[in-house]
Amino acid sequence: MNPMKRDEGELAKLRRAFGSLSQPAAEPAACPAPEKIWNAVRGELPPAETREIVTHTAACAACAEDWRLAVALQRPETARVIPAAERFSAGRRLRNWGLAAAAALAFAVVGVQWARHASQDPIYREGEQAAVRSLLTEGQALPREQFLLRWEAPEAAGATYDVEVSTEDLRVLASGDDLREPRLQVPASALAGLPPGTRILWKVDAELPQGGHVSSPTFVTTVQ
Amino acid sequence: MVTPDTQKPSSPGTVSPFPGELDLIALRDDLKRAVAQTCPRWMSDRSEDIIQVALMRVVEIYRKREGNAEFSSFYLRKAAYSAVIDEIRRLRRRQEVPLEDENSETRYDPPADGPDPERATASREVGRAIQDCLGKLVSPRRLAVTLNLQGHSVPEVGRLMSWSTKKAENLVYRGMADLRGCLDGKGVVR
Repeated sequence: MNPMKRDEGELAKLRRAFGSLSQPAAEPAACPAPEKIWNAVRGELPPAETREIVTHTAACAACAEDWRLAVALQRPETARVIPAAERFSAGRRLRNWGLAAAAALAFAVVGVQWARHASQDPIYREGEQAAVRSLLTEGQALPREQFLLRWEAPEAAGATYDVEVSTEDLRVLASGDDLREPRLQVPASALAGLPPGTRILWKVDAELPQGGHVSSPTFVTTVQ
Repeated sequence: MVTPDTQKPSSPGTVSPFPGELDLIALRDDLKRAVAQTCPRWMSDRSEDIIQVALMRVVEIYRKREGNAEFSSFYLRKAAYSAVIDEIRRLRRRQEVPLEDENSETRYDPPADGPDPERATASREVGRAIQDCLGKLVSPRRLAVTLNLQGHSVPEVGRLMSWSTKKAENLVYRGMADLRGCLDGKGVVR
């Protein structure tokens, strides 16, 4: 069996098993307030507080469930700005929760990019992080021999970039540190063995010349 | 009383009691989707009630805060989430049963793919083993693996924990290896 498929299947099983626990909270008084869980999922709490909540969810199935609900409810917020036709066609391709989660992530990316061209002013989960933009169309298929990821950033002159490229099952395929140019060529060898149509996730962290730092959303590009 | 079912888009010449930012229908749909994705079967027959209670609370909050410049649809979403969780917790308390009571399985049924009870029971056993193993991991790995099991990608784990993606990847990788070792030690078939 393909080891990648085996790992994907194993992770999916473990996630399902972990999510199958639905017990009443052992110590309800110790459960974080819903607002705290919400803010933690949004990354709006101090790291120490977020860690405390995540540690609690490791042992409290009820709060783990509450966490998942917050995630599920926050992801559609960014998906809402997708034109209906795109949402419909994408929705038909959803086969399981893993794909649905990945698609929600992709919707978030498309949503941010689409909305930046529109005159509306919706609220974005990663609005401040949208400063790094992919120069590829979302989901664009690239030949594996020319898998060149390109992006643009504000204050590009003098900026350096860290990039990480992975599959949907978190396998890191390539990465670049301190890149001077806003592009990364993923070696064909790193893509060998991936079936056509595999979705590749990539993310850019830019160090700006003035000392600022911006992160991109996660972009999705497909292997031809 | 304006409810999600009674609120209609404004027609020309009429004024909706709520501006566009309070899109109850969209909010209800999102709540339904999120609850269906994440909540166990024992709750499914109550989900409509839970959502209705949450939306009524949102409408109440909206009325009280109308005119506040900081009011946003995202605030409403958070309020709806809090209301849903409060209601779920209330139901959990009402149904509270001993954790090891086998009869509880009819009440706390997971969101399984199908109605196969043997598979659901096996999945819960693995879930309990995972929970136990998580408690034995060193803290950073426990955090990384817990978030990974909750469906977060490595970059998300890094962002949530304020780690670099590389560090998150390392901790997820090592933590998952520890988890596998622990499950193997318990004789859990993965």
